Amino acid sequence: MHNFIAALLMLTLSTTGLAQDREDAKAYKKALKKARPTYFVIGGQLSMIKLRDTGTSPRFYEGPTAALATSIHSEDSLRLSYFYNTTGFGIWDDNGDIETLAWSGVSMTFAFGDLWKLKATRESRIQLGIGYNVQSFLQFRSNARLSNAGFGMDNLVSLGPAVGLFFPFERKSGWSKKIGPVSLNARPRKYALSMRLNLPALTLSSRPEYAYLTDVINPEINSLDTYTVQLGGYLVSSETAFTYYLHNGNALRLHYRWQAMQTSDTFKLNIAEHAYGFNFMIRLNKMNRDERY
Amino acid sequence: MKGISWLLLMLLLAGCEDVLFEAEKADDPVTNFDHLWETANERYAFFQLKGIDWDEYYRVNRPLVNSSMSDTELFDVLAGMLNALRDGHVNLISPFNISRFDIDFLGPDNFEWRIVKEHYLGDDFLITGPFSHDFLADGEVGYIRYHSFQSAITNFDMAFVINRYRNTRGLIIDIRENGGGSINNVYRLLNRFHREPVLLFSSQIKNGPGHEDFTEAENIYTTPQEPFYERPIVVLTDRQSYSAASLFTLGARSIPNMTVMGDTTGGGLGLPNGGQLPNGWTYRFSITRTLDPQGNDYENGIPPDVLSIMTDEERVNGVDRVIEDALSWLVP
Repeated sequence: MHNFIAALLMLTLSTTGLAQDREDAKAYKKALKKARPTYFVIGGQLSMIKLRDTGTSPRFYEGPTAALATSIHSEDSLRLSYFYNTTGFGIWDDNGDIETLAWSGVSMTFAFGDLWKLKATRESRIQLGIGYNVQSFLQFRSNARLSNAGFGMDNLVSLGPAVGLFFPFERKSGWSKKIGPVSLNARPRKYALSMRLNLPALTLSSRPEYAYLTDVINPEINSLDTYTVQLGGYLVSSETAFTYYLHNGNALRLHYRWQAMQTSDTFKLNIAEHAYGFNFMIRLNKMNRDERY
Repeated sequence: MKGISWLLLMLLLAGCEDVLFEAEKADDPVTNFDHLWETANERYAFFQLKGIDWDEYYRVNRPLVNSSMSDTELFDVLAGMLNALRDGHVNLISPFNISRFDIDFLGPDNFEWRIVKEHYLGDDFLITGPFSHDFLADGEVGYIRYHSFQSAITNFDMAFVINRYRNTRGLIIDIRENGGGSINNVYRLLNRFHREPVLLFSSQIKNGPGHEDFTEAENIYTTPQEPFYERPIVVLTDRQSYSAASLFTLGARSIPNMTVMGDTTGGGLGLPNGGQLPNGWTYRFSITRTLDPQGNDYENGIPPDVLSIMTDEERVNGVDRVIEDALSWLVP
């Protein structure tokens, strides 16, 4: 009997201990998340968009797009989480002889994802992270020269693995120099260079049906009713960024984003974008003591 | 590890869409000819209705195309091939010329706006939105001239003219030389002439490369909207009543109190959409068809209920035969 009571007591204690461990782990993760430097990022982006919609033309159209870029960026030595949006207006022409032939419209990109930095590389100069990325590209464009095919609304959504390289570096000690009347001072500074590649595993696209008709005779039918959603194609993207950390916890960030996509329908759509952005990163949570320098 | 890093770096910085995307089609006369022929072959809606052997046009025209021909020579071949479709919705547009099938020459000129103003309306007729209108036949008939379906009709415009002519014995809606425009205006007019929904026509959209690959027919009804004009209405048409004007005429034939008078319309009941050739020229042609409630396709023109053609002598004497016949119809 005594043995039974002793066994029951041990089992109860060990179960309580496991539950306590789980609680501790949960609290630890929560604390980590809370401490992870998190920024609201706002900036401008200039890009060159190249597009070909074979539903209307075999030619590539190219042109500039100016966009507002916003994001939430959260990163520490263990993990990177992000959500970003860019919304911009552009005009894209085919460099042909008909000078008035151009698409103009709005392009929007939404993306979110997480990258976990591999334990084996956390102490290295260059850290490697793997995770996932979900990205959506939406474009509304019009070209009056293409009659009832002169409105395009395309949407691609892609889910896939992401891989990233992170290279934090710093100037550990400051210096000052005097060149004639000018004195130059440099304080200790932290920087980061990062690169991310997002690969497509599952891509969906919304495209006009075979006739590529964006107006219909039936007033009961919305133009968007003539669209179909298809599985296939790809949306691949990358981001290279340089971050310059300020002493007050905020940061400045330059980015180069590239994305290329193709739909899987009979009349394929190709779009590629090379975007260059400058951003202000506004720290949303308090700086940790070990971040101050 | 180092290898993977370099590979990633290369991929990230290369911006390698040129590797991913298919190259642009070559811009040479043969490729342009083939592109236009194939696109029309797979998308144009009326080969069967018009009895056109499109393969024959390839056999005849393709040998005329060679890599050393000039742009104007290529244009002539392509335009000649498209004009064989005898369709006002078909154009080839280059920087130096626009090909077209001129519907003006399908029939005699059956309208002269100056005659209408000088001998029927006078100089104090009303202009309400897109409508020029006034009383005729001592106030017993209302005459409404609508010159283009591109001009938007508002609810106010419709309510005003209907209320103004509500006590007349009949109404004339003159859409001669109305080359079409927005389909929305077709419904804004037709919704006012019958209290119950009327089946106007049905529409089909190309959905595959076969000449008769179309979606299921979708029936299109009026959406009745007050105020109504329910007395007899005569719609005046000619060969230049085209596209949306033909669609209006087709719908009018189904509304019990409406009669079509004049000449056969120009047709053009399909919706055209556009595209581009590898050399940058653009084209357009129809990719839908519209059938009347009995399933007839009047793409080549809708015959009137009452044929009425103005003679040269009448024109010289300032008589609009079609208006005269409409007045006799409404006020016998």
